[in-house]
Amino acid sequence: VSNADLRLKVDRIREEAIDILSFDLLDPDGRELPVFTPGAHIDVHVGQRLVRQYSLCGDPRMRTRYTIAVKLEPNSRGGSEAMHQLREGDVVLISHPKNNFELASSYHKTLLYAGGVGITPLLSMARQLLNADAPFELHYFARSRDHAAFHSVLTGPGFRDRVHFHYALDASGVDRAIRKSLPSSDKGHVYVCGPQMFMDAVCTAAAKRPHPSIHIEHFGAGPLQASAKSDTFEVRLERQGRTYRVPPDKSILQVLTDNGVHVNVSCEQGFCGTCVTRVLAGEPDHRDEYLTEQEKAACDKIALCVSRAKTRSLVLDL
Amino acid sequence: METIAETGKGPRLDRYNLTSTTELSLSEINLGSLDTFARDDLHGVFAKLRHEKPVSWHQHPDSGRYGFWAIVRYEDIVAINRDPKTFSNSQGVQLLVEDDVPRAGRGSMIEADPPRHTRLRRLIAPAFTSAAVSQIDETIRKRVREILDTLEGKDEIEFVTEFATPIPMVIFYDLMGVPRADQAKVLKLADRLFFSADPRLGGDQTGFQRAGEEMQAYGRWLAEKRLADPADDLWSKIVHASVDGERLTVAELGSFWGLLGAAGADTTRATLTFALSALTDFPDQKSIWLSDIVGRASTAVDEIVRWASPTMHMRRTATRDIEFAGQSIREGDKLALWFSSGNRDDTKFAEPYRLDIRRSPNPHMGFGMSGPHFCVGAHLAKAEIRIALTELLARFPDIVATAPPSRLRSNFINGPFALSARLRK
Repeated sequence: VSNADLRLKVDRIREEAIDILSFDLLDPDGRELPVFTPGAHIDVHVGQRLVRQYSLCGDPRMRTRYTIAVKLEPNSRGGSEAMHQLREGDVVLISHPKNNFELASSYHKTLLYAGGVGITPLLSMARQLLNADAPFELHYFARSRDHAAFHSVLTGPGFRDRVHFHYALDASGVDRAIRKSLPSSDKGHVYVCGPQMFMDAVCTAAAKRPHPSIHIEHFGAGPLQASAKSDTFEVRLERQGRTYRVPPDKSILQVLTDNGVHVNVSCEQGFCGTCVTRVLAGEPDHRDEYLTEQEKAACDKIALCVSRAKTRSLVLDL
Repeated sequence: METIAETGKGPRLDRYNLTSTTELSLSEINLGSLDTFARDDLHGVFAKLRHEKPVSWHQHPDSGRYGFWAIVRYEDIVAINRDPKTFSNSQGVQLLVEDDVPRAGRGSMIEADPPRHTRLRRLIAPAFTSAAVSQIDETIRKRVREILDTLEGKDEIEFVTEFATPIPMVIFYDLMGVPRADQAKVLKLADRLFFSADPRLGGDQTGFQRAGEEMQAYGRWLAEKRLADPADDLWSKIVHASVDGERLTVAELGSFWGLLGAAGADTTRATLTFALSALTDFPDQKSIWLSDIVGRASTAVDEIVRWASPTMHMRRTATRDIEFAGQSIREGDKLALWFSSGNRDDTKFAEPYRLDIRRSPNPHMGFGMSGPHFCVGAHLAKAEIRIALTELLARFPDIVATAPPSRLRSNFINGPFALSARLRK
């Protein structure tokens, strides 16, 4: 559940690359915004029901402006399309910045790997490292120069010598470029953000080093889902005869509540057991702390606030 | 006596929270006596019990006429919470409550078992979900800023009176709809409920009975008022709430107020106060928090609630004879679940005597754990604490406690009496 803490004005929209727009967000009264650290993201309330996470890609020292960049994904669930319909002057509701992708301080050279629009959190890191005059290299993989967002910033003063662009590579080309840029003796932290296959390739290469310190930002995943795969699945309420779709960024509980289905809840964190409900069919993906191991293995109960489904559908006794 | 306090650098103040050993022998330990809770090595006492006698019998007039079983291990507390049929709330949740004495929570959901508990809770829970609480974030922030404004220009403050008390008093009682003119009076009632045994608040351990009756009477008065004339406050929502066409009666509302009016302020005040003493004891953690005040607030708040453990015990009563953790427990026996002990259990928390504001996951028992009685106000309390502390640190990043907190005399609520603080370097 994200808190809508700030109401900001869309000040400027720029086309950064093919299908990628950046948005500068300001307080309407020009007030300072909450401090953020490189790698942080905000929840943006896109329309009534949609909440999407976007990394802040501006300079953390800029106290009055947040910048985010969004790629239009026609096959996604509508968040990017709604974002691309925003106009300058519109007001958006966002959360305070949160950070699951912190930049560690290090004497060694930091390596940043970006795939496509995954550049966004790494750009704020690069800005910070440049401000601090810390050694770093940014490797940016994109389909072409026209697909590489923030190209002019990254070829500007300071960045020019530290940023390497890699265009139009196939899978084996990406692998080669990563291995070449990631010497096995290197001790620095590695940060990666981009499509899943790209992150896997960087992780595989980086894990072979003697001191693997790999930090991964999962694209579009909320803080709770960051470490676990969350697919869309269906819940059927047997007694009410209704079926709902549970998207990756919502809990079963949220979906039921959004649809006016009353469920007793309390801690909403999988501790108290208040929302535990009988499962009539399907296999739960248990993520709570309440059920015992035996109860979890029996697969006949689920904590609706945090747990999900391993099967494509769950039938609940509701 | 080994204390972590002496091994660290910098000013270490709150020995109470930092001590992990005790010189007492098992037979000298009495959790019924309030003197035990005034000791610096209370957490050493709990550690000894966890390791050597996880279920132990205690008896002392400070905790009533009858003795009780002390449950100190995390997993044991969880197991008892999960079994409300065997371990009932219906005869009171404080050790001192016996037989049919008057008390604030009598008749409320905290003294109910399922299914009655479920019905009562369904009426008020919607007002306290995280989604409901997030609606009032800005209201809370505004109040916190007003209170911080009153501190401008000062160098030294008494933190309990000037910050930790007004925050929950104004915020919680405003939300509930208690007129400003009554708020101090209601808070005083809450204090007498929990701390009447403290000489500074009368020193009469039965004082909670009278205070409980007065608190319930106030709740009935406020309920009548809001039934006739609803306002935009939580109490109005609660008095008009219905489940399956049923509403609470005025008597039930009085009981409910006995619970909410009592539980909503003192616990938050305690947590805010022990937050400052903990952040003074662990300057490294304070710097980590200051480096990303808002981003680290969520884990920091949970850790501070674990640290403060504002509710030290909740009591249950056995409804049948049962063997529990190798101990025979008789029907009617009182059991105390020591959340303050579970929150320092090293089988669940790595380095439990270290404040770690990035601790995650943090399944602490500060709001209870596992079961129907998990604190209904947890989301509201966390929002208050989060906003109060982030705003405080943003305004006065150099704030420190200058002496250890002085504690009120209780084994129920971990209450601070005073904490002196300096706002600037």
